[in-house]
Amino acid sequence: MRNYEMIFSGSGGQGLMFIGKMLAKLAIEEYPHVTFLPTYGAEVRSGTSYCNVKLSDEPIATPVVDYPDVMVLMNQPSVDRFLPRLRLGKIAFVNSSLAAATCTGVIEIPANRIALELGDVQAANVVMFGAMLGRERLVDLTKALEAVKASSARKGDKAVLLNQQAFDKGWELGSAARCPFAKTT
Amino acid sequence: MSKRVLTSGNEALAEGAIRAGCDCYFGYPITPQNELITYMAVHMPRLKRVFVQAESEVAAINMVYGAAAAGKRAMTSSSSPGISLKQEGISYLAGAELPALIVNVQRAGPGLGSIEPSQSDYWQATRGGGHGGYRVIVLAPYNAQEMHDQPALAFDLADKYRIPVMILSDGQIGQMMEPVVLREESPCPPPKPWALTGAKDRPHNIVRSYLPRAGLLEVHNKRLHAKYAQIEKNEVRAEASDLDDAKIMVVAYGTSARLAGGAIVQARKQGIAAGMLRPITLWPFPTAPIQSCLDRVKAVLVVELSAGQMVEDVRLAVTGKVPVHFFGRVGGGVPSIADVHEKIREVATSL
Repeated sequence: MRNYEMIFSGSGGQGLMFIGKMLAKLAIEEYPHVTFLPTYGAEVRSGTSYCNVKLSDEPIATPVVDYPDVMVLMNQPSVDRFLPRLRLGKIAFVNSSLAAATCTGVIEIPANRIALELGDVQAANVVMFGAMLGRERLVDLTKALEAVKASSARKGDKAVLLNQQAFDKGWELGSAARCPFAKTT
Repeated sequence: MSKRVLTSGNEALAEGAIRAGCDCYFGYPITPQNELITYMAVHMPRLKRVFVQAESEVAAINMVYGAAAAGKRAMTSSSSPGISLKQEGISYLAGAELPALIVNVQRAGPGLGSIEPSQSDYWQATRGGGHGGYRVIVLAPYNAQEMHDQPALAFDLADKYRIPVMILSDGQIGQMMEPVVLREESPCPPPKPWALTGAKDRPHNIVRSYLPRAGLLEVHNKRLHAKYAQIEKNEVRAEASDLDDAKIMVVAYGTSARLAGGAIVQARKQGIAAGMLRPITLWPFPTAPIQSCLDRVKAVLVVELSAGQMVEDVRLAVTGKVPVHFFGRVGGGVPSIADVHEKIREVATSL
């Protein structure tokens, strides 16, 4: 039985809600039960903004994630808040451009640096999205890439290309990532 | 699998109301139901229907009164503090026998409280909320699909009985996104010969709640209560799961029912025979469905996001035949499945 519980966390504006929602939208094609729960209210504008995503073959009783299988943590406050919930065999993708975390189960992705090299730091979330999917393979790659491109289509070809490159680079790093003690989900 | 879309409970409800033929939406923003009013602001004008962001909750509910009196399908939505402000208007709707939909995406109180989910408005919703001794039908969705489907039921019941109907949700059900199968458009509602549509070539209609002549109001009240008795007889809705062999019956609605469902799965794995009765109508309350299980179950556990409100109705239904236990969190606290599971275990050891 498939059951994945995830937390996406960063500071407001880093686009973590966006990729959490994108994953949930993609996942409804492949999983009978999906929930996405955002934080709402004051937290969105400063400090940590995060969302909970669950994908399951069974009905989901609560959308709240206590102990995630996968985390994507974009900044230091997110690492400080959520990394203590990392259990043995589970994975945290950490944006090492902005946060330090070197414990077991952490996969460091320098997302801001990669995005900057590609042309715009705004694509850092897409780098992380690609890295996470590259390792976890939760949804179809082609559809995920299509969704990433479609989401920026309105901003023009340059933005589409940027996001495609960011996703590909992330995917490449995620696929290659070695993480001792972590089970492949 | 039919085509599913990922949507928040709030947006699912808004689209459900539109597909149920909602002609007019009147509201005032408040978290955690803002996605609902936002969705209406975008889509009602596009469909050439009425959307008004009123100057206050009080204004919004009175706009609902006006539109309902004119025979339109009208609704408003808010969250707990805003629903308190609407109570005078709801009482007037009930008195004037006007059909309307009121949505409460509950947050924690009392007072301005916080934006976290809660179920502490059960008493307010099921006891009428405003003055004068009336009832509103109360529906309790527990996922985005029911958020989407219940407006159609609500409008149909409201028209059938000429009564305000409330959908009592909570911040978690409203905010959470889930896959939803979109429903077909409802057929046109039946004509409303009582509505104020212009009295050309017919005697004029009167819609009012003010009946000052001696005796008239008592007759009116008796008629209202006869109607409420009919609703109690005909419109009870509840969902039973795993109750055939259950020794412990959990009674919970909305977010609590989801948590209880998860906890029951855990309990069953340990051999505890627990099941759930989930009220879908909070008023009329599913007294008979609860009573029909009392020859089998040894204990009842009520789970709510409150200090215990629905538990009173459960106790009235159980009439002391088996012990009624309670578990709840207050002030925006939401228990984990493990918390509810632990309580079920505790009840099981007490048997």
